[in-house]
Amino acid sequence: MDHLPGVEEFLDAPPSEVPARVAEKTSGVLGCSAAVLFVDGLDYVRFYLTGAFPDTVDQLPRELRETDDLVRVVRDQSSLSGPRGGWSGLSPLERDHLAAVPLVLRDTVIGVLMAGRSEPFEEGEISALESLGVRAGAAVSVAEKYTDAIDVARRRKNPSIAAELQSSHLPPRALYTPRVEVVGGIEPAYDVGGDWFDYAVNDGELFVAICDGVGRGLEAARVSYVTLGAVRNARKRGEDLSRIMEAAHRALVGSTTPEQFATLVMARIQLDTYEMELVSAAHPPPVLVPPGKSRAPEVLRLPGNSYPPIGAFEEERDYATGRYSLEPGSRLVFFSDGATEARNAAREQLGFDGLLHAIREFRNLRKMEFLRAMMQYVDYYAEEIEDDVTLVSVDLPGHV
Amino acid sequence: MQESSVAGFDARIVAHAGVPVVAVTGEIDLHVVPEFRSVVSDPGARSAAGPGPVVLVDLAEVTFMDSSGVGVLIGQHRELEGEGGELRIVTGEGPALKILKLTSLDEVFSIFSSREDAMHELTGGGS
Repeated sequence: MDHLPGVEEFLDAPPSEVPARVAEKTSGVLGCSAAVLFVDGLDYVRFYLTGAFPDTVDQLPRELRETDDLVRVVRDQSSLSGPRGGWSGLSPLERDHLAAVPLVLRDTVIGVLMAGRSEPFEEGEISALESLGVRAGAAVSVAEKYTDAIDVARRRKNPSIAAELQSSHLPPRALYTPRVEVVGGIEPAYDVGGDWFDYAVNDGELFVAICDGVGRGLEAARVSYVTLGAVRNARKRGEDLSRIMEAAHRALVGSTTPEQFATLVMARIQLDTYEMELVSAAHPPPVLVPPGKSRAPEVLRLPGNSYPPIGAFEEERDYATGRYSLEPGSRLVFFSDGATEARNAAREQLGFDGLLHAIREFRNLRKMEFLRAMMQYVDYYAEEIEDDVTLVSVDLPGHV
Repeated sequence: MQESSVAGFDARIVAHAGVPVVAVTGEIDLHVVPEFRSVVSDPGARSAAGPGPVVLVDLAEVTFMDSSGVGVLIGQHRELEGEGGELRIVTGEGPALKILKLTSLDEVFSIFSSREDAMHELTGGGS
């Protein structure tokens, strides 16, 4: 095996041709056919194959079944290899032996790097392929800042304008570190678009927030993104949660009508002491899942740190935060009212009880698997998803 | 006068002991916001008994209200307050009270458990 190409060799190609370059270089190093495949980067409920470089798959996008091996690679973030006879579902390479590894942007799987040839792949070659999957993910994420080609290859249809804005402002959907695991998502990703979530790990602490701009579509998006700009701006200035809330409120009051307001919940968690600060402006509080199976998840109460929506009233407020001592092994699930107000065919809302039930039901699942299960649960419950359903789950592992 | 269906939205101005009341039933969501807003802001909904204009909105029979419905209440509250008046909301123990509590608007709005309670104060200084 030759030396493995580095990120710079992938980025040598024009931005739109980076995925094809990855396939070409992989093919050269391992002496095989290779393909870069993208899955729908927005959908949390179903799996779609949306792009292939080189163009070896007909009729994209295609919905994949849960049993497809391509789904296993993406969902479980695991590598597969073996004879083609044992491959389940769609394969873009018609060769006797296949290998597939996740294409990752740090902890977010964006697709699959696949190789095929007449001889089996050795273990060393699989780990080389895995390294290429990581390097390719990095190269793709740089390249997509300069071209539409990659974004287009990662979606199954054109989203609404509000959803376009939304998807371009969200942080990566997953972050896994020894001290904290964060996963977040919004459904239906191709429509609606008034919610956002955000997180950042700064200097031993996690910042996490969910916002819901009133209304729907562009009207809501305007409220939402004024808020997001104000929150990120104040946060990067080093302000505390109270000041960040004030800044967001002021930005909205100055730029929108009284009927245009937002709900916003923000938390800061110290990752070494498990101390959390929390403040909410009319946003539902998160659910705390304590460690230990015998203890039930509960909606975290907000005594004295819950306020009316921001942007609705001109008065300035003192947004006092609440302090909570979390335990190692805890999980926090932040959500928007789109989840609890989801209505079934009988017009019954899922409610806090329904959400708590699902959180309890899936408490053994972790990372993206938990988020997907929750999203699917709400999706199956709802007759129609009419409002953004936003979920962010934060796990604080028990031992570091 | 009351026509009610389970999901259907209805908002109309009714006279309760000589005082206009905006009586709302059903679900308030984005689809009905224009209608809800136009009834709540109708000059005929204003009572003249207090120092400024008062609008009494009865949400006790509302089965669902989302944030866009809350937005109409906020807009009307601010408008009336600007004129030295007041928005009064009757919720009973229904879903409307739940969402107003959840959004901490119960500390901003004047909320009453029945029309009588809301009217009592309203007519107390006047007729």
